[in-house]
Amino acid sequence: MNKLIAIFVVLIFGVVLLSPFVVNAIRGGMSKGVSKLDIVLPSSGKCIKDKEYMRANHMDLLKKERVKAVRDGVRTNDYSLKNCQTCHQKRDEFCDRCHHFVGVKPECFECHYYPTGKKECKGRE
Amino acid sequence: MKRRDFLKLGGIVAAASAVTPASSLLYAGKTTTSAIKYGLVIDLTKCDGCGECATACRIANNVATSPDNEKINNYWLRIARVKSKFPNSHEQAIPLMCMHCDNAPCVHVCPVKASFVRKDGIVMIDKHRCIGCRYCMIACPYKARSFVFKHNEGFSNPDVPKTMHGVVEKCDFCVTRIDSGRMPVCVESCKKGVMSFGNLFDPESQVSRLISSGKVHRVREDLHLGAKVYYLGL
Repeated sequence: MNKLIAIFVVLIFGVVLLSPFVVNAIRGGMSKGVSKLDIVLPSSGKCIKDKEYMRANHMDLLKKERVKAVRDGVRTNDYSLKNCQTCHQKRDEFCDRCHHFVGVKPECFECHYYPTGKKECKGRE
Repeated sequence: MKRRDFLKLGGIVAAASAVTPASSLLYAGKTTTSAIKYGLVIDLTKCDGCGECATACRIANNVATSPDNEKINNYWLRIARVKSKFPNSHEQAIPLMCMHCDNAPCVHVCPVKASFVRKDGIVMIDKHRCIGCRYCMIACPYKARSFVFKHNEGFSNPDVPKTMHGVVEKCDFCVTRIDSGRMPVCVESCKKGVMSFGNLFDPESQVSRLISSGKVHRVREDLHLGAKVYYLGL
């Protein structure tokens, strides 16, 4: 009797575990794959490092440079969040879309100004 | 490889690394140096307490402000008004900010090493690192620091970062301005020329000349903290 109950519980657990895959398979979500990211790229200009490097390591680069800037006062023009703005002008069209997609919430923009396309409160006195 | 050759090679490598450290080559001339020590002299005989410096400071540094709530109305620079108890004594306004102590108690007390003294003597907060424990606020004898209690909305000056909710903020002599070769805002905004800012190690600078006049005092000099904000006529 106990054995039967155990098998039943394991079965239910298995069904629950696999349910998202089953639902997606029926709706055809799996064949669609991941939708392409709708990122607005600058028309011209060259980044300080190549695309692949920046995609993977821009956060480490910024972090490394920010420590140097804060602790040692090394304020290079190249490696600053402000320099990013010269090409990637709007945050919500570039940074935010990818961050949202991969589900990360960097806190850079809590303090650092980066223009967005949206209307924002500015000019506080 | 012979033992002799190996030792030779090792010696060459050691000598080369001693002569040229890689970091100093990369950032020569850009890093802070201990050859400079920044200081500020405030001439109280010229100051009438108009508060121009305080407002300029608030705007330039995105200081969290809330005029209707005293508790969350932060400051980097405030103006204290001192009056003696004698009748008809005149009121003296004293601009007070972080004194940038050499031997800063806030730095000693910080559990995460967010507060630090830069090589050129500026006491700074690494706001990325601050956990908002407020030990430094208690340690500071000058009440120079304030805590950001509420989300600080909007930028009055987008060129510098504002301070996030839950982090301590204070005067940093406008480091970004100093690093780009400009004066702090309080010095620049004062129309009466009350404040003078410069290198304390340079005997020709105005600050050192004012200090060598012998009339300067520092607030709470008895604490021996090595404050770098001097007052004339205190």
